[in-house]
Amino acid sequence: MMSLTKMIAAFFLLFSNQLVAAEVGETEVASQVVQGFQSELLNVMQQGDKLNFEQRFEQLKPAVITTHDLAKITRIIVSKEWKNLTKEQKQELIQKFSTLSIASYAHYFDGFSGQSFKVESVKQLSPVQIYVHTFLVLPDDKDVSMDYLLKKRGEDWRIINIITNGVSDLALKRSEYVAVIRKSGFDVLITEISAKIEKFSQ
Amino acid sequence: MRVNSRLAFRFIGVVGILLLTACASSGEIVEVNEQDPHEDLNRSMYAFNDGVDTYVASPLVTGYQWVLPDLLETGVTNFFSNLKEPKTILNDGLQGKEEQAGIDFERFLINTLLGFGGLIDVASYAEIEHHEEDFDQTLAVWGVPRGEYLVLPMLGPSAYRTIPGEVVDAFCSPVNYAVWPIQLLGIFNARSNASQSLNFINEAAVDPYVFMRASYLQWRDYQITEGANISDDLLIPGVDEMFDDEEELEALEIGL
Repeated sequence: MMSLTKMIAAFFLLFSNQLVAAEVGETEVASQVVQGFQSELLNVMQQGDKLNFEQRFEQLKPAVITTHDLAKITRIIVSKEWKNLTKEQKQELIQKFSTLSIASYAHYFDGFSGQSFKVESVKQLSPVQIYVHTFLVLPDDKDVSMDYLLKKRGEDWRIINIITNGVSDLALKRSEYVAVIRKSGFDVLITEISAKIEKFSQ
Repeated sequence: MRVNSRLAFRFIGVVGILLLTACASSGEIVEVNEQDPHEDLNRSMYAFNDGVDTYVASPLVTGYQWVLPDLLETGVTNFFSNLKEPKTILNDGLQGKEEQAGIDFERFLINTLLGFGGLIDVASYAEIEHHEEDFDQTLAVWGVPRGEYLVLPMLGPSAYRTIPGEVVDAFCSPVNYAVWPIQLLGIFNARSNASQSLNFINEAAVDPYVFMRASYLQWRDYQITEGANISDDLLIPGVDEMFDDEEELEALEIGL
């Protein structure tokens, strides 16, 4: 008969194994989100010559919307100013920012010359945040470090930040957007974002 | 990858935030960025530099790029990059990075002897890693605080600690002992290499001044900490407090 100590030890062993397994499962899922997105980016890049901006935009739209938490990102980049916005302004900002995000991808990822992505490591930072460390491998240049921060939303994992060679997109945008709202107001920010979208589409 | 995507990645490689903070004083809200208390002056200097760049440097560099074939331009970039190696090796040593100093010395030797004075980057073909160290990074490793952010006339983004760093680096760079045409070529080459980054900022930024400051400060932190700052930057202070409005966000539509 198993002694009480052994039973307790077995219970904890089983429990801790389940915890580790759950964590591995979560990190695997988060990693797959990033890899799925990167795979779609590569797909669009490889068709770069055949697709125009609108086609790249339409192809990337579902991939960006399903892998990024665009509402959360918008919320974070306007920081404390969020509370000063009306519901309509919040809605408009999310819509504009989401369009800008997809347009940026469609604008910059427009061609292919042998690039690839590789996942270096995945780390669970908290029960709701996972960090995926990847590299963009350039055939004739130094690899570019691309780190993704994902946040759990319901049962899904969504990207909320990308850090490229140490430069955090979220922090960069937060500095800019807060500065523009405080200096010139919400409407100017929307005008600026619209101008960027227009520029990217040309 | 065509110009746009390459441009984006190159930018990240060339330029490099600390977050805006607001404080209340005497009942009136005053925006003060702790890193940039001289923002008004810095913005004026940024506008001045931008004007000089638009009307003087950019046209000259366009001419330079037109005259110089791509292959030769790469050779010139390699040549000046190789001349930065003594500075890197010295700072490797001052930061206690003996192994890296050895690699960088090997790199310098190979490129100087086998790469025709550095015109051909033979070391990269031999997969010898390239590092960039400078005296500002050394001072940071020694614990000297960065000090406030500054935009210097003609030189661009900087900070108090960067100034002595630049002076020491200038003494250690062979190019500063060369005849003036070589020095001038070095300036043209540096501006030419920065073209993509500057274009990227103008294209992507809603506030180019803030974009430049934020990316420069983050990039320098990344260089100084060898990437260790990433885990700190991942979780932006205050972000957790924003995770309490999930229901409100769920109710808002992306609208696409």
